[in-house]
Amino acid sequence: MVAIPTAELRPGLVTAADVRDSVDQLLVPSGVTLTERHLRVLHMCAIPTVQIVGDGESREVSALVIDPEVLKAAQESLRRRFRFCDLTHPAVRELHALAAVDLASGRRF
Amino acid sequence: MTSLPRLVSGAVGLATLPSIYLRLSDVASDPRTGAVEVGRVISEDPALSARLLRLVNGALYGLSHRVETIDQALMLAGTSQVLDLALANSVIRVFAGIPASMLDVDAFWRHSIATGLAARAIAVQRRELNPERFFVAGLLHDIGRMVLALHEPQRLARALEEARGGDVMLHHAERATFGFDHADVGAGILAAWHLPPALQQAVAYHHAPIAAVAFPVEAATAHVADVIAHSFELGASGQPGVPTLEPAAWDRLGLLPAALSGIVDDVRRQYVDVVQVMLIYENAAIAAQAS
Repeated sequence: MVAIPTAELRPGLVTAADVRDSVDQLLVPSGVTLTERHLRVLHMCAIPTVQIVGDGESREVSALVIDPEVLKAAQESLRRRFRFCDLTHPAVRELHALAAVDLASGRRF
Repeated sequence: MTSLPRLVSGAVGLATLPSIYLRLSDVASDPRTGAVEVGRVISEDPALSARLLRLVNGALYGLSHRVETIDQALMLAGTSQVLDLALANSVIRVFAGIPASMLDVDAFWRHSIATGLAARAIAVQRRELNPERFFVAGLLHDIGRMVLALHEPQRLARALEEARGGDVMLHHAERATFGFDHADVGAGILAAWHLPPALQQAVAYHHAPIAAVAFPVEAATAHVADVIAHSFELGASGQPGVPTLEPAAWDRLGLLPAALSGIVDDVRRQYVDVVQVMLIYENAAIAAQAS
């Protein structure tokens, strides 16, 4: 069980305790799989944190290890795909990095 | 030289939204009707009902239990969300089965769905109240290119050549060839279909999001979602490479770059399922009808 800030919640996480608002009204019971609707309610009621089952990971964490040389080659080969973009922009840099990891690990959508 | 209005009216003449969607839209906007009436209209179209249930029960919502009826889907997701999903289905149906010589239609819709999912994931991250609206905006963002491929294939071919040869973005080559680009065409189509102004602006300005005065968030979302879809080469729209990210659009969304990983994961989780429901089922349904 772990307390997760509301802003970091994602659909699929399961509540480990009842979520109540400032006047003790039950918003989301314990043991519920959070949907986007729940997240909107929690956001609108300004709930700061929510107790979540497990360690807060709703998807399997990959124990992937990528050879740094392979990753570097992937980053280089993606320069062409990103040739219209400014790779110094933090968001572009992040997308380029994520795409390189996918390419290097052979991960497909 | 075909003018933009002539192109749009010619295209809309051949491509009308399915009557089921128009009826749904009427029923939903009538203040005297409620979810029950909306549910009844949807239920009259078994194919649409099946498609909507399949979407709600799939990766888009990640429910832990099955939704069995349209009424349950309406209660769970909300009427406007279900309507937006119905609109998404309707648009794909409009163009389904029409071959386009200058465009890989399947790849086009995959790119459109990926952009829709990225836009939706951005909206969810930003706690927008109507994520499906953003899904539709992303899905429709390049619809103008489909229209160009169907109605002006030779000139689109020239624009494609220029984009490849001159190493420029395709919408710039379109503007040089046509005097307008696919965003202008798409916006015209959506206006002719009387779709909401927020959707029109998202499509019109997805390459020039700063110019979207009335609906800057929708345009910025479509813009960034397009960049995300291209970053992972999910489908193809003819545009070679990732389009330039407009920093002001990124700033407008107020997201941290670290949020992109979660957004991309959402798209990754949903892409295969939604493509299956919206594209593959659709193509199979058309093939079955044709045989």
